[in-house]
Amino acid sequence: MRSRARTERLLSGLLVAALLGGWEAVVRLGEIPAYILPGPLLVAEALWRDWTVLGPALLTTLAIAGLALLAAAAGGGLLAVLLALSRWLEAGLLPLAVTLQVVPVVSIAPLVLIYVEEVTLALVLCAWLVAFYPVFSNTLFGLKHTDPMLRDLFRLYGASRLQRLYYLELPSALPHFLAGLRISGGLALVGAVVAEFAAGTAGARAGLAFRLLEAGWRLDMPRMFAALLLLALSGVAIHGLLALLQRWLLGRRYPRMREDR
Amino acid sequence: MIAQKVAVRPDPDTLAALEEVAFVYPNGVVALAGLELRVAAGSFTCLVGPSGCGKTTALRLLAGLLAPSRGRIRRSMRGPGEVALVFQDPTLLPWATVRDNVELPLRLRRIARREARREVERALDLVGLGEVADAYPHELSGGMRMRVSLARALVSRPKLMLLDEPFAALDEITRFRLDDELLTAWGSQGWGVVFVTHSVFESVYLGQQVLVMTPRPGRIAARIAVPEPYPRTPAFRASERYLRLCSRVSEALERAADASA
Ligand SMILES: Nc1ncnc2c1ncn2[C@@H]1O[C@H](COP(=O)(O)OP(=O)(O)OP(=O)(O)O)[C@@H](O)[C@H]1O
Ligand SMILES: [Mg+2]
Repeated sequence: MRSRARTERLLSGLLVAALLGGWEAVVRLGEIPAYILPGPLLVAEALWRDWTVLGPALLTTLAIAGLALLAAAAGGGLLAVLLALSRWLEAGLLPLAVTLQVVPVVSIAPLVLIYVEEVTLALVLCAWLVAFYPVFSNTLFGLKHTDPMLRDLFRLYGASRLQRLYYLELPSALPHFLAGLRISGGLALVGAVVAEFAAGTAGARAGLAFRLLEAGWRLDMPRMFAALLLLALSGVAIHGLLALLQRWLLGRRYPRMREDR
Repeated sequence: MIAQKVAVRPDPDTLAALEEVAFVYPNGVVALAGLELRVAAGSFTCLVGPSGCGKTTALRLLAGLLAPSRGRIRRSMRGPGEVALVFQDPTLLPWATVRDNVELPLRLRRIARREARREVERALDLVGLGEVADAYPHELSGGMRMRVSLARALVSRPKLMLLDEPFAALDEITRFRLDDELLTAWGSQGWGVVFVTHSVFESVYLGQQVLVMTPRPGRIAARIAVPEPYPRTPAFRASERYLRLCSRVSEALERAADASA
């Protein structure tokens, strides 16, 4: 098992190296100019040279996505619990949540930016709108689809509604909540980028997405690629962190859930 | 919905009784027709019958988890936790340890932690699972899981104990031991018991009476009294009268099957 994991890691490392090498070779041998396609070495150099600009931008974007994800986890989880507890609330709020989900953020973002004056808050709000739904709907599904035999058992033992929630429904929903959170993690980043595009915040509080646009306007392709690279790595990092969280929370208690990636 | 059909009548001796009960599943399957069954406090009744004849359905009616389609159920029990049902499948919380699973009925009744733990340890020792108290259900064998489920029913100290083929998955030695443990616990706690089994031999060894059911739709085809005092010992298993009773039950089963064919 362990040696197979090591082999897999080695293979994917080799693959990445081969791709980068191939890219560099194509750019050099084909004499492609940097304003059309920069090679990986040039991108790395841009990353190094422009770090004073890109570093803070990275932090800004990560903060927006992170806050949005936290808010999505808390809000989505809580709302799911409320809807699971009350049929009334479910009938009233579920259509609203679904509607919010199907409206594209790009179209709401300008509106949010008008109403919410604090720009960072507006960006977080936009990203939250995108990230919210998967956590929410997955958690609600988990809460409502508990094992019917176990429900009978709780009925026999005269469990109260809150006892059923605490001892049966919340633990049943935990793996679903975490699976939803992993989807939301990626979406929070997407939401942050889209919102930044719409907001176009310049200056010290600019995020990666704005730096990307800016580099595009200036035809600074290496920097554009560097910003893109940072966005991609952010996505990978969020994904990895959530996978760790999932493994840590599920542990050995949830046998089947642990295998899936 | 169920309350309408359950007439609670003060009758100190009868814990639960099915009177001319028919049960039809929503898909139209007639599981029971004209079933008469009375469980007296402190009695031990074994229920045998061919697979699919409605034994589980009868237990669920007695437990109050189903309401009859026709006929009546009388139950003298009111409070929660007065009925324990050992389901045909273990029905454990997958995310909880063996100990926490057994403790569940006591937690739901808010029994003090110290006292609860003591009862749990006792029940686990009784079913021979003291060693694996910290394991999770998926780390146990099928037979061990069934014993956890039995221990959980034992700690809840019910008035009516319903057991649905609890030992079907166990080897003969373990099964004999648990039969004896069950009889001992019954002797000291005096629940009314309905014990469903496929084994004619087990039914005669355990019960004060054996009820033989017809194939679906199930009703009682024969009632065979077992006038053997408790405690029952391995010597009873080797006796002439035991074997004679066993063959009477077997014959009743065959007659019931032939009559409906
Ligand atoms: N939820 C259900 N919906 C529809 N039909 C059902 C349902 N549960 C059981 N049945 C049918 O009702 C009949 C009686 O089922 P039941 O589970 O009571 O049988 P059983 O005597 O316990 O059988 P076994 O010994 O195999 O456990 C069966 O024919 C089964 O197909
Ligand atoms: Mg059954």
